[in-house]
Amino acid sequence: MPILEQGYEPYRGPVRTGGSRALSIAVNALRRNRRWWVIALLLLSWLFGSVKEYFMVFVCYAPSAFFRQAPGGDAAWLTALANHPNFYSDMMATQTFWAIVMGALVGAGEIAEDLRTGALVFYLGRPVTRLDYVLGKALAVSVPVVLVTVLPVAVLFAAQALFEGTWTWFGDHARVLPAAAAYGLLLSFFVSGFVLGVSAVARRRRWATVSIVAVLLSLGLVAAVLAPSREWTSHREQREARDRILDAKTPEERKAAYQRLSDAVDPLGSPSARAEWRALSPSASLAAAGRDLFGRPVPSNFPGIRHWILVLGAAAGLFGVLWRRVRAVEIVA
Amino acid sequence: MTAGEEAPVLEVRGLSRWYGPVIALNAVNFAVRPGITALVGPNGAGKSTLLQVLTGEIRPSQGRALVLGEDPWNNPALARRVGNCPQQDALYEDMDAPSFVAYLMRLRGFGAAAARSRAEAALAAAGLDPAAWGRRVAGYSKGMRQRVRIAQAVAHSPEVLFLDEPLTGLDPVGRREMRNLLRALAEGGTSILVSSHVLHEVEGTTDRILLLHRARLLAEGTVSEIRSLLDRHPHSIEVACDRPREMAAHLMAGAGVESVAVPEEGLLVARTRTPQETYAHIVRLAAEGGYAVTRLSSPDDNLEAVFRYLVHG
Amino acid sequence: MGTGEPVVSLREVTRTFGRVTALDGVTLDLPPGAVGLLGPNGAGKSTMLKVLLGLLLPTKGSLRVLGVDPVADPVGARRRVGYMPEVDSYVPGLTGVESVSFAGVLSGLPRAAAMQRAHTVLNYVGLEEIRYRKIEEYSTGTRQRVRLAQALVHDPDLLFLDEPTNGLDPDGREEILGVIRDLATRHGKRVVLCSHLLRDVERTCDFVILLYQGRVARQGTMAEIRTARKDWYRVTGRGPLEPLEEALRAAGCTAARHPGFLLVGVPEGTGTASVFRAALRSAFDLRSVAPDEASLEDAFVEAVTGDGGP
Repeated sequence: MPILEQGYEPYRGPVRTGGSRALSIAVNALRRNRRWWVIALLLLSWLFGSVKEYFMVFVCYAPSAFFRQAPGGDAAWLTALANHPNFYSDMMATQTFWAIVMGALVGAGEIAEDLRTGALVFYLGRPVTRLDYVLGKALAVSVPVVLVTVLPVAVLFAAQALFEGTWTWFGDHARVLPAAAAYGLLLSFFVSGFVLGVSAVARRRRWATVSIVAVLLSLGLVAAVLAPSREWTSHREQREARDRILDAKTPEERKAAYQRLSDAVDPLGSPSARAEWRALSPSASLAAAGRDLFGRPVPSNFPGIRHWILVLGAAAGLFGVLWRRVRAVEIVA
Repeated sequence: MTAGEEAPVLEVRGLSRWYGPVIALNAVNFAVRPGITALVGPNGAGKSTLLQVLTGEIRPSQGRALVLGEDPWNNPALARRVGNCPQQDALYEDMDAPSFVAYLMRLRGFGAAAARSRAEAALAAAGLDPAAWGRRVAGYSKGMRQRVRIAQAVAHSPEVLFLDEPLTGLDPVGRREMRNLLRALAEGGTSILVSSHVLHEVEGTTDRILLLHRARLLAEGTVSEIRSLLDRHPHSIEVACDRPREMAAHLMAGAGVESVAVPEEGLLVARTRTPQETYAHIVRLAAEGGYAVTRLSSPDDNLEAVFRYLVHG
Repeated sequence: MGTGEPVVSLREVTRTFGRVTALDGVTLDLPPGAVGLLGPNGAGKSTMLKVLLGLLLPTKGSLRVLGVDPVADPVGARRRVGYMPEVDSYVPGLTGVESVSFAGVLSGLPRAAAMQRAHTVLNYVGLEEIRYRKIEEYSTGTRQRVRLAQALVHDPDLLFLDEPTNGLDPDGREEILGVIRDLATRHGKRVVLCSHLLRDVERTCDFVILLYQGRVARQGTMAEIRTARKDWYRVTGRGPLEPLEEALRAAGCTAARHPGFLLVGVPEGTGTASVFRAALRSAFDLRSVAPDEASLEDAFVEAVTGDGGP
C-alpha cells in the first residue's frame, strides 16, 4: 500500500445541509448530564409523591400477578390502581415539583457556564443560529421534565388500560393522554424558560442552582404561609380515603373511593382568607393550569385564567431575558 | 564587572524557586545593567516566576534577588521606585482611568494633586485617548486597558520598570508608539526589563536579552555575543549578486569557511566558523571585484535563530 | 482552482450603528492564497468579519462568500467557512476531541465521520494525548490549536483566522504559521488572517488588505506594499559608526542613523558599490546591506497616521 500522507486531508464524505442543529445541541447538553446521581434522582422522583403507594405496589406485585395469570383477579396490585381520571391529574400535579427540580438540575448551569467559557462564540461560528441554540437548550431541559411527568403517567395508563380496559373505562379516561401531553408541553415551556432564564443571568452553575432553589422556596413559602393548602388540614381524612381505595373490590367502588380522596384533599384550595395567594406558588399555578387541561374544576381561589397568565407570562418573560442575554454576546470582538 | 562600570540594576545569585516537586527557577545568576533588557523563553520557562520574585510578590526558595541593590521582598520603599505592568488584567472596573491611576499613585505616597497630574501625564504618554478618560474602565477595549496598565506602571517615574507582554491587545500603531515610549523612558534613565514572546519586536527595542528555558538561564548578553558563542552552528551568510559562482570560488579560499553554495541564480550562501573574517572578505570582494551586490544578510544572526538554536539544540 | 467568480467579493458594503459608520462602501475581491486583513482597532475589521460570516446584516451593498449570499442565507455562509475566533471559547465539560467532533456534527458531518475527522485534524494541528482531557485543563496555546482544529474539521474552502498566534510562545507561533502556510499553498485553501503581529503576516500572506475608518486604505500583494526604494539601503554592522559615515559622505552618499540600522542614500543608479568601498576604506565591520524595503509595519503606520518612515 502507498504510505499514508500525514499532512492535511480533505473531507469527501456526506454533509447534512438542511435542518436545525437544535437537536445536536440538546443531545450534547444531555449527554453531559449523565451523572449517576441525576439518574438516581430521576428514579427517586418516580417513587415518591402520590405515585409512591401505587407504583411500589405495582413493582412488588406485578411479577407474581403475571405468574398467576389472573388479570382482573384479586391480586393486590390491581386493586391499588385508582380508577378515576383525577388520579392522573393529581399525579402530574405532584410531579410538577420534581419536574422543576430535575429541570433545574439539568439546566441550571447550561447558559451560565456557556457564557463563562464563551461557548456561544463557538456555536455561532458554526452554521447554527441563536434560535437553534436556545431551542436546543430548552429541549435539553424539557427531556427530564417529560421523563418525570408524562412518562410515569403513560406507563401507569398503559398498565391500567391493559388490565381494566373496558369501553366505559376508555370513555372516562379518553382525555388523560392528550391532557398529559399538553401539560407536559406547558411544564416544559415553563421550566425551561424559568431555569434557562435564571441561568442566563447567573455567572456560574452554582449561583444559578442556588437562585432557582431560593426563588422556588421563597415563593412556595410565601404561598404556604399566606394561603396554606387544604392538604395540610386533612391528613387523617386522606389516610382513611386511601385505605378505602385499597379495600375496594370493584372498579366502581375504587372510582368512588378516589373521588372521595380527591374531594378531601385539594392542594390548590385553601381555607385561608387570602386564598388567592395560593397562585403565587409556581407548582400551584401550574397544577391549576393542568386541571384546566384535564377538564377538572379549579377551586374558586383561582379565578378565570389568572394562573395561565402568571405561568405563561413568567415563562415568556424569562425566555425574553435569556434571548436578550444570548443576543448580547459579541462573536467577533 | 570591571571597576568603573555602572552598578547592576538587577542582580540575581543562585536564585531558585520550587513549588513542591516542580521547579520554576533553578540556580539562576545574572546581572542587568541600566537600559532595556528583554526576558525571553518558551512557555513554562520560569519568566513569570522570575518577574514575581523581582517585584517582591514571592520569595525565592534559595538564593537572592537584588533590585537597585535591595531585597524586593516586603520593601515598600523600594516598591515606590519600581514600576510593574503584569500580564493579568486586574483593574478596578468601576473607576475611570485617571481616577484609577491617581488612586494607585496616592497609594505610593503622592499627594492628591500630584497623583492626579501624574496620572493624566502617564495616560497621555501611554496614548489613551483623552475622550475616554471620563468613562469607566469596564467599557474599555483590550488595547485601552493595556494602556491603563502601562500608565500605572510609569506614572511615578520609577527607576526600574518590569513589563510582562506590554504590547498585547495593541494594534500596530499602538505597538510602535509603546516601543517608542519604552525607548524614551530608557533614554530618560529608567531601566526596563521586558518579557515578550514577539521576538521580532524585542529585537527592535533592545539588544540585550536573558534567555530562560526549563527554569535555567541559558544565555545572557547581546544577540550577537550569544550568536558568536554558538559555535556549534556555523554562521550563514547570504549574498545576492550578479556573479555568485565567481565570488564563491574566492570565498572558499578563506579559512574557516565550511561551505559555499549557490542554491539559485544570483544567490550565494556561505557557512563559516569565522564570521568576522568572512564578512571582511566579502566586503573586500564587493568593493574591489566589481560585483553588483544587491543584498548582504545573515539569516540566522537574529534573535529567532538564536532562540531556536538554544532551546532546540 | 481555476479563474472565475472570486471566492469572496464585496460591493459597496456599508454598515452603520446609529451615527457610527463601521464600514463605508467597501468594495473588494479576495484573491486566492493567504490574505492578511489588517487595520487599527476600530477600523472595521471585526464588523467586516461579522458581515462575511452572516452574523450582521450590511446596511447597504451586497456580498458573496463562496457563492452564497450571507444576507439571504447566513447559516449557509458559515457552512463552508471555518472561523477561528480570537477569544478563548469552548463548550464546557467536553474533552478536546469531543469538542472538535461536536463542531463537526454542528457543521453537518455524520457523527462517526465527525469523530474520525476530529482525530485526523487534531493530528494535523499537533495535539497528541492531551486531546482526551477536558479543555478546562488546557494551556492557552493548546486551546488555540483546538480552535484551529474546530475551524478545519469540516474541510472549509475559506478560513477566517482572528489573531491565531496571540499569546503563543515562539515555537507555538512557528507551528501555527507553518500550518497556515501549508493550508494556503499545498491544500489550496483561502485564508484570511487578521493579526496585529505584522511580522507574522509578512511571513505567511501573499496579499494584504488594510482597513482604516471603514474603508480599504490600501490593498496589494506583499511585494507591492513593501515597495523597495531604489538607491536607499539599510546598513548594519559592528563598531563605531562615525568612520563609516564619514567615508560614505566623502563618496557622495547620505547617511542617517535609525534605531538598529543606518539609512544610506547612494548616488542614483550606483547600487551598493559605494557602501562596500566606504566600509573597506573605514575598516568598518559590515554585517548587512539590504534595500530599504518598507516593512509591513512601516506601510501600515504610514497609511494610518500619514507619516512614513520608521
